[in-house]
Amino acid sequence: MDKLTDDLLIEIFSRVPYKCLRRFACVSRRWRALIAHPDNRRKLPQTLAGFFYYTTSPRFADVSGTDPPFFDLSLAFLPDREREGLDLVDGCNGLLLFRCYRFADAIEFDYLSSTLPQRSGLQCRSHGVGRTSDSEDNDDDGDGHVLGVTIYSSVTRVWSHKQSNWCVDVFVCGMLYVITICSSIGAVDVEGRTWRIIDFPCTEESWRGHAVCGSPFFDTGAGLIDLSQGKLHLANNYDVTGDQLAIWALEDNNSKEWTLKHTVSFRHLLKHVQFGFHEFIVVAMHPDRNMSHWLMVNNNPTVTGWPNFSRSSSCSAIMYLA
Amino acid sequence: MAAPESGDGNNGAARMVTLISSDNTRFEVEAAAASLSQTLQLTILDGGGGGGDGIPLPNVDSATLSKVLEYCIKHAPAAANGGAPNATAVDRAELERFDNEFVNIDQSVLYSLIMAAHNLEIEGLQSLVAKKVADMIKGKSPMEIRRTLGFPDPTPEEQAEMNAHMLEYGWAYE
Repeated sequence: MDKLTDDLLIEIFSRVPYKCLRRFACVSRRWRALIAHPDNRRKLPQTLAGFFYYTTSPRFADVSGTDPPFFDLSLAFLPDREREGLDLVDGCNGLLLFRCYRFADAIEFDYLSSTLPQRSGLQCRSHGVGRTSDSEDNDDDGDGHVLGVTIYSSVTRVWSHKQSNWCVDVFVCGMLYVITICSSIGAVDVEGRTWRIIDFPCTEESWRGHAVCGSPFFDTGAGLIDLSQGKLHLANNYDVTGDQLAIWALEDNNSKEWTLKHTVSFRHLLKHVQFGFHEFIVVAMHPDRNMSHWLMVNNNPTVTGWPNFSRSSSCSAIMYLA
Repeated sequence: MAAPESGDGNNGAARMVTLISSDNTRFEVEAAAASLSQTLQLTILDGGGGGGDGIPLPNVDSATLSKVLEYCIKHAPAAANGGAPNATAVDRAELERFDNEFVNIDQSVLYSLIMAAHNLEIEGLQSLVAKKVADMIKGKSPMEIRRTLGFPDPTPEEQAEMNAHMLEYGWAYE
């Protein structure tokens, strides 16, 4: 097998998860060089390259360790006339979604999707990007009831609108799996055929809190979902004091069974925490390893803007889960 | 193996072609099966391989070629249906069962097979063997992979590089 051609080795490498590929890179110098070569990157499993966040303008936090960085925020890969009035909304799997303000009416907008230039690759989450049909699209009845979603397929390159079959209050704010306003997650496949609701996991503490406060999750919208190691993960408040954050994994997408993977006290991360969850945002979970990326939110926008992140700054923490 | 061919385009029977391995063994197969190979397909479309001529394959020995043809013959009907959109679940399950058993073979044979599939451009076979090899080494440590694939032991420098890499990417070994 040592005599296999480069093409064939790449074909073999392309069939394993990213974690295995990292081990393969250790097998021999030749394997390591092949895996590291930029020409092969597109053919091999990819991992988190970085994530977008906003201060006064969109920023890209690069965690790929490549030089030059993976993503060029000047968007030089777009034609000039399309670079005006763009707001980056989301990015996944090498696909970007922008909101574009290019009409005479300043509040009118439409959406633009674009693939990243060849050499880059963003975190793989899914083969589609979804967005809510929110009030601007007249699909929200004004009370948080979402009546449909519009999904972009990178395969067919078209947007398609799907009527919602969800019969409870949901607010869709992402793609495929979305956190709703009532502490549950809405799930829809890219064809818009299957519509499901998965309730947030609940701990004993939160039920005790329920008895005291009337609701286990009065702070709705607190949380983040992301795909890690093949499973949907959720970061949300573990207790009603808002002092602990929990990372859950949805064991089986059909069973709706959650496993508590880790809890962490905010005071454990930074000494001067005052308001718990609101000062932190989990912005991403590593797709291949037990790791989440955090932002610390500074509540005084005149000082640093919101939020502020860099890998070396004290305003961020990279946390390893047990 | 080789049967004399009439050569007079009898319409009822499937067209046959002859392939000649590197050790000069002649294999007669239906053109449809041989055409799973993109390289052979061109020659066959040009009318080659019929009659007494045969298509020489200097890079493929007879043991490997007979294995390759076993795969092609099994997959030819599905391929003829254009990826078999009409195939029944039973047909697909049967092909899958065949594939699984087909690659349950010695590693040296796997190696010859994937090289032959690459040379002859038989996409399905190449990807089947690649998947098999990937599965063989998937959960293993670098040293286990080296042993599984019969690499020589690492030199001290290589060993040091491996250790450094393992330190850096410790999470991949959890």
